[in-house]
Amino acid sequence: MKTVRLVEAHTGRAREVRLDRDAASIDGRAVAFDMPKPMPSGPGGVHELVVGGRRFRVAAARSGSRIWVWCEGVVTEFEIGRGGRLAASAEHHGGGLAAPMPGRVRRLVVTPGAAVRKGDVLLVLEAMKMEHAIRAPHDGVLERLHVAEGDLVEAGVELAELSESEKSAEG
Amino acid sequence: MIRRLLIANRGEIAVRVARTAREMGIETVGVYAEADAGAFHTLNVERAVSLGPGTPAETYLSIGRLLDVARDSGADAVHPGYGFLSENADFARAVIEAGLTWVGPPPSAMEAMGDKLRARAAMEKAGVPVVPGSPPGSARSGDTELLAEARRLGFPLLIKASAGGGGKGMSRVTRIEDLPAALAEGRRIAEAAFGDGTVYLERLLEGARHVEFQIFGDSAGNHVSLFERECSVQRRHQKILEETPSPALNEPLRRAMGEAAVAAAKAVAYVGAGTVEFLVDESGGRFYFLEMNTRLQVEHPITEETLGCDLVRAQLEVAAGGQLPASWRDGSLRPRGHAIELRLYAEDPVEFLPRSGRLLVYREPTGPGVRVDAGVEEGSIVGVDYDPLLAKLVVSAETREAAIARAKRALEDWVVLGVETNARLLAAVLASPAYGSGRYTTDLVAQLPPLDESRPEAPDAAWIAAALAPSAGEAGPARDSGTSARDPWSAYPSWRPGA
Repeated sequence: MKTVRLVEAHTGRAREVRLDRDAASIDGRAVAFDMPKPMPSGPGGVHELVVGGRRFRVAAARSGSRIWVWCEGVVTEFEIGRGGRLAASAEHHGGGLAAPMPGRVRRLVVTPGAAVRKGDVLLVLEAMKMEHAIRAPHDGVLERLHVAEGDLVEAGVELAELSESEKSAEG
Repeated sequence: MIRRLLIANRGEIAVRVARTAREMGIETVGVYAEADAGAFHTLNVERAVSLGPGTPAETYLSIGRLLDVARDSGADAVHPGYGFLSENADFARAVIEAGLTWVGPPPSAMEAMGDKLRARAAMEKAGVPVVPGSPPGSARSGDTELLAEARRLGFPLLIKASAGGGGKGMSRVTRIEDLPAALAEGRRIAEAAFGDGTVYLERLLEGARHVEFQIFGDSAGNHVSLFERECSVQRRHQKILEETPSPALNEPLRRAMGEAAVAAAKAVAYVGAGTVEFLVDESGGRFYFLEMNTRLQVEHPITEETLGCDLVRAQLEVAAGGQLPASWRDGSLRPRGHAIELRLYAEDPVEFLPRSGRLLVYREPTGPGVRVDAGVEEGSIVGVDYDPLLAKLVVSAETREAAIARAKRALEDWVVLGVETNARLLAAVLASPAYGSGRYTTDLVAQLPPLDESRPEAPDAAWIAAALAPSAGEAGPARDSGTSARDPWSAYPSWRPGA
């Protein structure tokens, strides 16, 4: 028996999946399932799962805390556990100063200590022929930069810290 | 004849060129930046030579290093692929001056077409209609002249980089107040990307389709049209799905555009494979020259599939001094059936931001009428320094309807785990009524319903499959992204239901 807490990456929906020898449950709801054939070892396989009486072809792979599932032609990403902040959705989480994509820091536009307005471009990332401006999510003072021009960053990495606005309003 | 070919590229196009060269008995020499050591394309050539460490500018874009490799490896010809140095006349000239065969058009033709303003002027002279825009000679115009020009053309309009391509430095302007800032930004991007900040204005034809013609020339002065490719399905002004024949063309229009494409090729004494891009307006009756790409296109396979030919073979034969095949010259060539190409990009399908990582599971679709031109394999690392194109799926069938059904099926069978791709967007395009009807324009992608809102909840089976992958509690973080992460099932050799 094992229990895994999973977060569906694109919705943020969390569920607890419990597997027993001959049954499974999702958030306490019993789900009948079976694997007609033992899972072969070796990479890249598509396998068969029978869930709730229906047959599904699935493939799955994990890297770190990220799990990728292909199920009947549709790919879904999951994160293990509750804490995983998802890189793909970082830019929608208000902070806005996490890198929304992997890339190289092309230009630093604002120097630490400077007051900025919401929407000002703070720095520019570049990846694969494309530039992407990182903008201030709110008025404030750029407290700190965590990157330098030319740095390679992963998606989700904190790029800078921006203080809350009050002082900067007078400018 | 070419004996040993240097392929000055990476990814799927390097693999594509190497396959044909090997079939022709030509030895292949590949190159790679250190970051690409062991990459899929290096395993498809007989010899792979390092370009050393560094950025693309220091490796795949370094004329000096590539010529050193050509000399040291004893190559007698260079194929540039697409992208990188493929449209760089200085590179072509350096290859020719080194006594090697350049598998591409003459540098003079590349220069004539590479400068978009010059190309427009040459096309007008050759009687090929061009999109209304800044006149030739406006290259040095300041903002005042361009503002006056913009009033004459009307809005919306496009700012384009004269030295540009691939949508870079291009922006849409709808109000005259926004023009000065957009011009400054366009010049800055053009200067950074192409070393030439010249921009010009072009009327934005709304509701237009983007249709291109494959042309071919040889050094005996023969020029032929190898029919069209419909390229209207785009995101960020870049194509993601192409098909041939175009549902927008009738026979008279197809003939007229083919003739205009041949006239364009003749006007610059073109030799080799080239593509003439046109805009076709909403009513379908008019077309305008957009630009000519002086290289092999990403989407060339759909032409190969419907004509039953090998364009890379023809490139190599023509570069070696050969003539175009007789069946191309005598006008008897006719396309058969329908072909569609889908470009699989390592990018999120909603905002189109690039993604990187390792391909943990990669399984290609197969079957009749299914071809995959890939630059990756299982285990490949997708980095951020290069174009995010992973692979192209090319399907062909007797009819458009059958080709769409085949494309849907093959796309579903493509298992790509470990790096997010635009597969959902491609599936949404294929499923859309606009695409199905054949009546779509370049705004098709923008008009699709939001992908995430229409996304169904993951079925229970997906949750269970995810839970079957090694769990955080039992397995801990994967030691590497190799075998243990690749095969979640092998982590539980003793566990299965009902056992």
